[in-house]
Amino acid sequence: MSPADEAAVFIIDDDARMRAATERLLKSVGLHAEPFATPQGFPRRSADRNAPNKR
Amino acid sequence: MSGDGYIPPRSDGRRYEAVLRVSEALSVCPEAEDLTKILSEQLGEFLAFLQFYIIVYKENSTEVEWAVVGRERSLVAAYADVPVEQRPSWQSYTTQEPFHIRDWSTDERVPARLKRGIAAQGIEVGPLIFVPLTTPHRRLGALGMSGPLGSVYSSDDVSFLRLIGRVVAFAIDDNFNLTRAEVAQRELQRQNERLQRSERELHELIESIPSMAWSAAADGAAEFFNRRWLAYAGLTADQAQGWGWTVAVHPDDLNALVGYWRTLMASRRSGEIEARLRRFDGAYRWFLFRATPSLDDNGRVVKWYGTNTDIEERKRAEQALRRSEAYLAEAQRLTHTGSCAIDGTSRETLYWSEEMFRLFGFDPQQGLPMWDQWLQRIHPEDRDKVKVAGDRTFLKKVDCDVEFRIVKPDGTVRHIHGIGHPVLSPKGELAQVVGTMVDITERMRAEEALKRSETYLAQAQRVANIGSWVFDTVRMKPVHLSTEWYRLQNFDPRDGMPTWEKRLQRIHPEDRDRYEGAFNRAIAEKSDLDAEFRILLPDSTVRYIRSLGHPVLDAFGEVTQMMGVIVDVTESRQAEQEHERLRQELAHLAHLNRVSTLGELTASLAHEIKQPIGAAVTNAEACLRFLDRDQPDVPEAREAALEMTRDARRAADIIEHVRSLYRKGSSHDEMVDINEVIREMVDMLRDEASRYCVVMRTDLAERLPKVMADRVQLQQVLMNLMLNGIEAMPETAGELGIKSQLTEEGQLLISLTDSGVGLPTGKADQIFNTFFTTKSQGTGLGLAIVRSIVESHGGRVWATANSGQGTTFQFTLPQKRAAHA
Repeated sequence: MSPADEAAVFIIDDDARMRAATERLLKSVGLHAEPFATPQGFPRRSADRNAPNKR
Repeated sequence: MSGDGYIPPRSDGRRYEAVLRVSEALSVCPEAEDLTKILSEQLGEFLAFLQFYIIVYKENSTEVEWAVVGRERSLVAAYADVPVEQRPSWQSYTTQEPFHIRDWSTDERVPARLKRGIAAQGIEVGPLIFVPLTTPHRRLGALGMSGPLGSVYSSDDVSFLRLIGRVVAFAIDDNFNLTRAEVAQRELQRQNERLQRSERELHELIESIPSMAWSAAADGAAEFFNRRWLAYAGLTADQAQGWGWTVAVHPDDLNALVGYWRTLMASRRSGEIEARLRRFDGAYRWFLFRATPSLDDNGRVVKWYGTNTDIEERKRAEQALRRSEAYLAEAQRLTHTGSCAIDGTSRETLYWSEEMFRLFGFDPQQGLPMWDQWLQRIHPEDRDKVKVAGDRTFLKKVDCDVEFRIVKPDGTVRHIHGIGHPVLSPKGELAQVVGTMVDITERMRAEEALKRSETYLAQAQRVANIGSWVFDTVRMKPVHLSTEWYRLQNFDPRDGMPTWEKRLQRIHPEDRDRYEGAFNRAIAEKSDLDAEFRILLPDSTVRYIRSLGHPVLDAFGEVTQMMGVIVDVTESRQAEQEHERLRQELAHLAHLNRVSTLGELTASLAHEIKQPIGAAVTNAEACLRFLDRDQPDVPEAREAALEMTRDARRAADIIEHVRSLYRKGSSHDEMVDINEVIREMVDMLRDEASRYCVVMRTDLAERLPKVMADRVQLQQVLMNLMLNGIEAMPETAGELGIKSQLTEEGQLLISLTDSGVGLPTGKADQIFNTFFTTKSQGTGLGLAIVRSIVESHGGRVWATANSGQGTTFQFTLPQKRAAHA
């Protein structure tokens, strides 16, 4: 299963350590997470994932 | 001769016998004394006489060669003024006939002078008779006799006397011939003996005299040297003979000596010269060469005699004396001291040293100046003073000590110190006045300069509140205390220098032992003294004194003195106390500022602390879940646990930072990494910046040197400046840049640049003043505390408006903190 097909949880937090801890916790329950330091980074990543010519 | 054939008549056998006895007696060549005695005895029986005479004349001369006078009373004196040619003995001698005067007083043949002479003797003389003393070969003289008054000599008496005269003449002639030969022989023998004795004595003398002796021929060639001479020079007699002795003369003196020797020989006069003569061991000594010629009757030199006298000691003494005199003259020249001697009666100048002439500007070629001439050199205003002092010395025979001025011929005025001393004769009369004159012009100038310098020093001490002291550590008593020392310690100089105990009593009781200990320790350790103490003045005033001292060591390295200064540091101490009070107040205010600021930051700080704690909890939960899996994922759990501890440590650090800012403690310097402090404060204020939508960016230079500083105070500086920048951008969502760098001067330069509202218009220079603020809720302490802390670290802080928007605050920190910082 490719990352594009996998379900993902997006994390937005300006604190790097808190971001890493949350990502680690989601990982411990089997969820894939993608962290973002700012909200501005999240839409760009989301658009990238939904783009038809992604592959 | 008519009397030659006289033979005494046999009838007069007694006279005949008398003639025989005389002849026999005289045949043994009697001495004159014996002859007198024989004739007196033999003639006295037949003839009455007062005296008899035997007169022998030199041949062809009126000079008496030999004379004998019989009996004691002499009429010889009567003949003293009578010319020989008029004397009766001469008449008989020349005529070869008896010269018979029956009455001398009336006989015209008797010279008048003889008559007067006989009369003057007061002797009653009767007849006079002289008969010739003649042998067949020679006329000798006459035999005479003077009879007493009233006596008469008959013709038989005359004949008898002529016969006696013949016998006597033979005896005398034989005796003369014999005597002359004997005398000549004896004299020759005596001369020989004397000559031998003289030569022996001369030889002994020459060998025994302490001098070295020699003799030389008329041509100057040496013939003889005594043993002492040869022993000294280490030469044999043969080596020294002729001109061989010259090898012992010093080469530098030889030409002069030989030249002089030749001059003496040419002049045939005595002379002497000094030259060095080599000793047997090679050492040269000075000798006086003295030579004397021995001349014959014609003034020709027969021989030269000479001596060499060792004058080495004398020469050395002379040289020493000359050196001494030269040194004395030089010493007088260097010290400008002249010496003189003046006659005690006439005041005539007897002696002036060279320096005296120089001092008073007289020409030595003109001779010694008179007393009045010397007085004329003295400054008119001082002349009477000098005359009075001089008169007192001459009249009362006491020492003279006077200072005066002189005016030299070129108009120069010099100051002279004159000292005169009377020299008395054994009778107590003033013989001389000897004295010295010292040019003290330079000394007086130096003394005046010294006085000025001392005045300046005293004034300087007065202005600086510094007193100087010198203390004799052996006798434990002061040897010098300056005027300012007395003033500072409130002692009266008129009471003399205070004792050590009095000084200690002046020190505050609480400081007394400490100061005394420091003083004694400096002496014992030969180290400098630096002690501060309080003194308690009589009016209960307390002053702070700092005493600095330095040990003075003698030739053996022992401390004999301590010399130093005391400084009144009361004002300085009071200023320091005031400074400390202000510092403490500032520290208090700074603490209040920190507490107040931290109070305002509570929400941000809580969030800042909560973040790592939240992260730690999240990591803990993740860790547990990794472990609770059917197949525990240990590596992930381990990673989560590590992150958890990091988060907890970060939370603890933030709390510690906050706590340190809350702490109210004394200043504590340590080596601080400024970049580390910046990062800590950025972390601590990140949330506060977020609240203001301010982004903080750092630009920190690498490998910055650490600085000696108080970490908490630097944190406060950065916190105040960062908050000041954040709060300046409340609505602009701006950016706060923090930069560290090292300047070319080696200082750390920290810049904080914001994009806020900028400096207050027209009041930019007041922003660091205490209680100045543009904020409605501001205390006006933040920036003032920043400046105080930075300056206390030896740095400087300032603010400049950015070219665009906002302000840049900058401060420096020196790598090495200055002592006063």
